[in-house]
Amino acid sequence: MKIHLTINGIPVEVEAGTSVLEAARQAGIRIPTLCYHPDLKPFGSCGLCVCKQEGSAKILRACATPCAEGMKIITHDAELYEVRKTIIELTMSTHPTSCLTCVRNNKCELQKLAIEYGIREQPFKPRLRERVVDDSTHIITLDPYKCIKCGRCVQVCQELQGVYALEFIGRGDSTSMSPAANLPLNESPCIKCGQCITHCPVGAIYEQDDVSLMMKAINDPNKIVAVQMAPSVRVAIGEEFGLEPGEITTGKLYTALRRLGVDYVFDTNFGADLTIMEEASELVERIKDGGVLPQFTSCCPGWVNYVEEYYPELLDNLSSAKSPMMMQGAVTKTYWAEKLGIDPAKIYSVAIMPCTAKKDEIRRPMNASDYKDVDVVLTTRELGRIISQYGIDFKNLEESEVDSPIGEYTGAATIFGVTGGVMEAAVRSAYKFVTGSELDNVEVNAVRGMDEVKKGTVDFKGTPVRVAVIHGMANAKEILDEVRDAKLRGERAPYEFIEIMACRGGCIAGGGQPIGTDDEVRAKRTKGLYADDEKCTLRRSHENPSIIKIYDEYLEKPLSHKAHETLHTSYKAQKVYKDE
Amino acid sequence: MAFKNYILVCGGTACESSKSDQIYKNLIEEAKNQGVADQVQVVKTGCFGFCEQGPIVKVLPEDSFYVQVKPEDAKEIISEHVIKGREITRLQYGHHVRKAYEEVEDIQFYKKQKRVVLRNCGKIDPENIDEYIACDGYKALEKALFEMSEDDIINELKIAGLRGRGGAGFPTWMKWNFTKQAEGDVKYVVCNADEGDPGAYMDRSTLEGDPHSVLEAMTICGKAIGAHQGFIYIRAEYPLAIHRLEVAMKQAREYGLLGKDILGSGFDYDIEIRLGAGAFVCGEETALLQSIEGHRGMPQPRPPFPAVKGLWGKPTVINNVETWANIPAIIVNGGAWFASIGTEDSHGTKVFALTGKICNSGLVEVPMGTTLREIVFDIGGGIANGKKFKAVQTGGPSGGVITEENLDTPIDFGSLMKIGSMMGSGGMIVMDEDDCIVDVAKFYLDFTVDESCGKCAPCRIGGKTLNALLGKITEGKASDEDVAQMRQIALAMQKGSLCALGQTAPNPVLSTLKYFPEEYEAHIRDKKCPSGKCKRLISYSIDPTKCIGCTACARKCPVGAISGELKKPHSINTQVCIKCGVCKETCKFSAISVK
Amino acid sequence: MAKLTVEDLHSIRAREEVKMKKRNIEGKKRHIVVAMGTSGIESGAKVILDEFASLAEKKGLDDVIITQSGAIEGVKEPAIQIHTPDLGLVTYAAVKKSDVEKILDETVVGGKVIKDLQVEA
Repeated sequence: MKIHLTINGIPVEVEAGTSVLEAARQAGIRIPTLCYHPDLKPFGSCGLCVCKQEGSAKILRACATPCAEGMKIITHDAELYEVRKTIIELTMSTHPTSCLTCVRNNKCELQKLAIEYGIREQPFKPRLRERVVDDSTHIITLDPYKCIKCGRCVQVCQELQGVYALEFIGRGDSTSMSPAANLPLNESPCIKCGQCITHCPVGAIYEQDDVSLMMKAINDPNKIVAVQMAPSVRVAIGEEFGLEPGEITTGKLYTALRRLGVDYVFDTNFGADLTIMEEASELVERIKDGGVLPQFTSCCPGWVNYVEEYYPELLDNLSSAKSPMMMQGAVTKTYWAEKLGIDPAKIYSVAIMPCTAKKDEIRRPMNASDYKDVDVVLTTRELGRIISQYGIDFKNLEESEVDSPIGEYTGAATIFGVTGGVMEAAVRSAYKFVTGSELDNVEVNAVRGMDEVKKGTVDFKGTPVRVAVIHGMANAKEILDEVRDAKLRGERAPYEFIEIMACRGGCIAGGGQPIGTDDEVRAKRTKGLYADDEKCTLRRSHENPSIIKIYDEYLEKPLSHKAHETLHTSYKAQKVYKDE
Repeated sequence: MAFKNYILVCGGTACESSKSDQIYKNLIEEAKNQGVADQVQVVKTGCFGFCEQGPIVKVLPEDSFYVQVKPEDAKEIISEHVIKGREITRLQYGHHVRKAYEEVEDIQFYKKQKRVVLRNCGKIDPENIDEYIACDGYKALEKALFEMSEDDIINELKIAGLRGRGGAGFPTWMKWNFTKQAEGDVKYVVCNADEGDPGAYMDRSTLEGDPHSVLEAMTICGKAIGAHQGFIYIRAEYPLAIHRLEVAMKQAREYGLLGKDILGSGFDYDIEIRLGAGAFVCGEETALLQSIEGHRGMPQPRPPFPAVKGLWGKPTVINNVETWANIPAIIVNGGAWFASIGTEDSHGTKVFALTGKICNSGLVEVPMGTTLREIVFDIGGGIANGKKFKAVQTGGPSGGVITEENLDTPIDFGSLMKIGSMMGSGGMIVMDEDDCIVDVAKFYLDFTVDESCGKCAPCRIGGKTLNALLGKITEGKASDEDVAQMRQIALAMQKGSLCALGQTAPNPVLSTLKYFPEEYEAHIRDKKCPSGKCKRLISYSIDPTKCIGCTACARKCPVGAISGELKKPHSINTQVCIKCGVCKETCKFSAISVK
Repeated sequence: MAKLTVEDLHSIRAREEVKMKKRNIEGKKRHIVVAMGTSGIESGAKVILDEFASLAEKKGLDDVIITQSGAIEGVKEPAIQIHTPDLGLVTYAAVKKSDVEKILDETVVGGKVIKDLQVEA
């Protein structure tokens, strides 16, 4: 149903249920906001989106008010300007003005508003709290000193992710964003997904910057630096240099990393193909041998943290296959090191990830050699910064090729970055493993798209495989409860394979990606990865010649003893509150 | 033989805290000891309202109104009054002597009151459901269940024109109607008993004195909107009200007036109590619902309104205690009866908690349209200690001050808004000439800043900043520019805050600025506090022509700021003085003055 | 099955209303005051008081208030005083139990003074 209204006299037609805020944006009118985020329910804390209806003094919040037929909305007038300006000034009075040293300088929503409203001085006496930074995780840093209490991080953590690691504590003026129960973040239920970072309008939450660790290794003549990058990085990092979201920059990325001084450039996508070989084989084995089903994907470390905390009963449902990043790191320091006769001690393994939880994952005790599979994880944002610092004109960079033999990838690998991608890639290979023949149409549309829970059945020539795909951690609760309850009853929930990714949209919108992610950006990055898949001549992991080779030369066959040693791991229940 | 005398002992929180429970027990004990247990029934009732004079004991049928009764008076009440029939003059209000057959003297405090909400308070034993039933209790429920359709019930409220007593005055029937029409298989009814205005205790007294009226009303609402579960959200600081509610609910369940198949109608309904921790903001309905759900009590943006998406996302009616207590009377007596009370704009009565510098503080219920002057001077007996009236604050921290010139304003929702205040939930605080108006504004703002949940920026930061500016004024450090900033912040808070707490928080500041500009000016320009309240702006001094050097003040001064030789005029070291005022109180020769 | 039927509710109300009515003094204009000083009690005023109470209840005189007082000086006890809006104050002395019904019927209800009993107080 269409609704008709006018905004500042401009006629607008919108779908029923559209908020006044969205309708205004459609009409080319921007109402300022600090707490509103399209991923979240209207929260109403910033007070900036106040509007009026013609002939009424009553104030409405554009974010929370659905359009109604015949509305005559006023979004800007002298009084509303005065109100907004005062609120911005008040907000600024509790926010430090040390913009130059802030990680979000130039990407700060408050800064942008201060510029827009031409605020040249602080009329209200600044009242700043004492600066106490929580860097207990060494991954995600909470800096409440800069927090404007918009509530996005709390909403994201509780409603989008269902993790409840962040909450508001204190009341009134002493209200503060804080880890649950005022614990240090590392003792809270935090799964390190980093969604709080990408939703923060200011610089109150950010990733620990590990760039120096990589640069130190690069500058160390005794180190051989081998780097890998996740699929989602290639369709997002361009945004840091003015490119459109979704633009595929794989070749530029390889070049940029080489210019930074990296010795070998590999690709997590090779690891992803390897993951499919193992994980799809594991699924086939579980189905054939009556193993624990449904099998859960295990490539998302945020999700693995979540299940270890909240559903320890389901740990044996998790695929024992390591994530692509960890597999890539493992084969770098074993297979590749052996092949080139390099001492793995000399290899420094770097991973560029769209994710903060990946910084956590490398601390897990699952290394294939005596050395860490991956030594450091940098987020897309961190890599973007170092590329700029090294004066590399990313936008105009020439493209180059990945290093062999652990760099080549198939289309199946690259779609790992998007919700449903792991499932689709697994289906492409599992079909072959079960039926012996190839799937005609490699595109599994049932598992694509932004529906929060996608369910479907894939027919493996008479063997129906029931699958579910979930993204956005909070959306998993219903199915996880179903699986657990069935399990506790000694039954089995009606699924064989479930893919879960912690972040909405998948890794393309991970906590390590460029700031400013919303569904529009997600769609563009997703499109980029599917385009990358389509570009590939080989679109099934088991067709990757380098994969075939590594099994021939080193791993023997999927799920072999050697493969288990190198590419598989185990899980352990975590306490929700680590201090208990 | 039937009881000859009935002794009603007030069992409200105020009287209980001055040992009315012991009075009650002693009376029963004494009646037994003196052999008249069969002639006298001692009943513990809800609040009589005249809390200034508590504990209150009323003896019937003589209608003797005993005030400030002590537990040891019980013996005499039995021996003199019950046995010998002699009224005890010294306990009588005003020590009034009257003949036994004389018409009951109207006490000024009650003269202009009309009791609808408090109809059973001070009359029945709130812990005895039978007494409630005797006073038309559950008659309305029976009518609603058997004689009225859902729409009939809502229509009766529409005819009555009942508006919400929580403050905003939204028509109750509309709330019910929206909820009834909202889609949803499960709906809820909520009673907001999170009374929090400073000095207000209307709802507490209603629940303590007549808990069944609220239970009955909520059940009627359940029938009207199609809900089967109600919740009473009450602050844990109200233990007596909670206890009375629990007793009432237990008795109602035993009679099947709550539970399955109520009175054989086939209608199921029950009520649960949810305790709040006493955050003022939880009186805001969306925050209250959050709190019931177990979340942090923070207001939510509206829409969606609770009528559409309330408790656990289900359509929910939420009314405050006083609103509920009106409803059974409306159903029994008809909406037209209710509409005949009050003014055109506002029907029925309103309960106020009258406090401050007033002779008779207490709980008063008056028809809408009664003037403030009648409440302050007739019912309240005027200003205590012969001081001059300065202003009265209605609407608590959301309202404003009303000055002498507006005292003849009739009390209704519209008229109070017009003069910059509001009805609010019923707090009414009277101020006299000794009160500093800036200090009063600061008192209320301190309260709202303290009680702000901290969710929205305009209230959280604006309130604190505004309060700091007010503080500057009371310290004599402010300039006219600060007042301009205060107005700027006030506008941002009024327009930008998420809930009524923040939107109305600047009201006390704005209304005092409006009505007492000269007092602000005195603080800002002359650096003086005319009422002598703002410590930073006053100094104590000793008039050497009056001081006889008795040393009394010097001995009382807690900081040793006063010095002088015996029998010679003393002086105050203003550097040391903490302006506590003890010296002035001590001096018998009026030698000490404040400037 | 409902615990309480509508009829049950009605009977509770009827039963309790009677009790509550006695407590309710609103609109009760007719007062009977029995002198219950020490001398009054000695002369049998308690019997008179009880008789008034039980007969008034029997006759359903809901609007009559029966109270007691100290001695009424200078009259022969048991003495009573009746006060109604029409009659004003009437004092009866040396009242016997057998007079009570007549007093109720003629004076309290009927509004007529019984000259034989009346004295000036």
